[in-house]
Amino acid sequence: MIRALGAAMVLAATSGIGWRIAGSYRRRPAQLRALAQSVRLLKAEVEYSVMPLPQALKHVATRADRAVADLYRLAGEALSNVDVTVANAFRIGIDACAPRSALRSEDFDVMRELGATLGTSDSVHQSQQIDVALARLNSLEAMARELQQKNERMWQYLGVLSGLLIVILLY
Amino acid sequence: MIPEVRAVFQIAGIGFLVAILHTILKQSGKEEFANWTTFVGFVAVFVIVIGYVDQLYGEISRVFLNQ
Repeated sequence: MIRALGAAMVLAATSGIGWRIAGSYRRRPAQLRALAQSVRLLKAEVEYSVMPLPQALKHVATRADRAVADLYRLAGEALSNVDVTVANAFRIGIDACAPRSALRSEDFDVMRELGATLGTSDSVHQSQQIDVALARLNSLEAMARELQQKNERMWQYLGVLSGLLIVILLY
Repeated sequence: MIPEVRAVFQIAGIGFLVAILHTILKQSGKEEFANWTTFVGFVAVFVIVIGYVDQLYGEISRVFLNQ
């Protein structure tokens, strides 16, 4: 009885681990798409409504997807202080956002570099920089989709099967 | 169930699971991991079998040599 219970627990635990790892591969393309969408919103704010950056960031935060909204909200709040640069504000937002999202550091690097260039030149140059970031995010999304196809199913099976293997070995 | 029969099923199950793991890992392009899994499964089964072979030799020497 206790043995069967333990076996079920081991199986549930390894399946859960496999599911979690597969989930990070599953969520990453969607979150990259949400990030690109939010950068597009930011571009609209910079180009058309020519808002000061703190307000623009907060405005984007209210309309962006939940997965990336915190990044903009915290960056906008940090930027409201006088002695914070845009790059640092983005870094603060990214550091707060990173642990809970499925995005990787190379995805956030795009945002870090975008943050380093925003607010340093005129709006034409800025929208060029935003276009560069968008193109990079799109190519990252394509790569993430490829990785998802390769790895998502594998990690699910791997979790369940390794659990079964442990159960059989110990039973 | 007598323990020897359990061992047979255990080894069969390990072989089955390792075969599935090998195919899945190979399909997703991780061939070296697939080979390592097979190797580890082999070693696990070997350890189990060695225990029984040890028992067998112990039994033989008890029956035929220690009179």
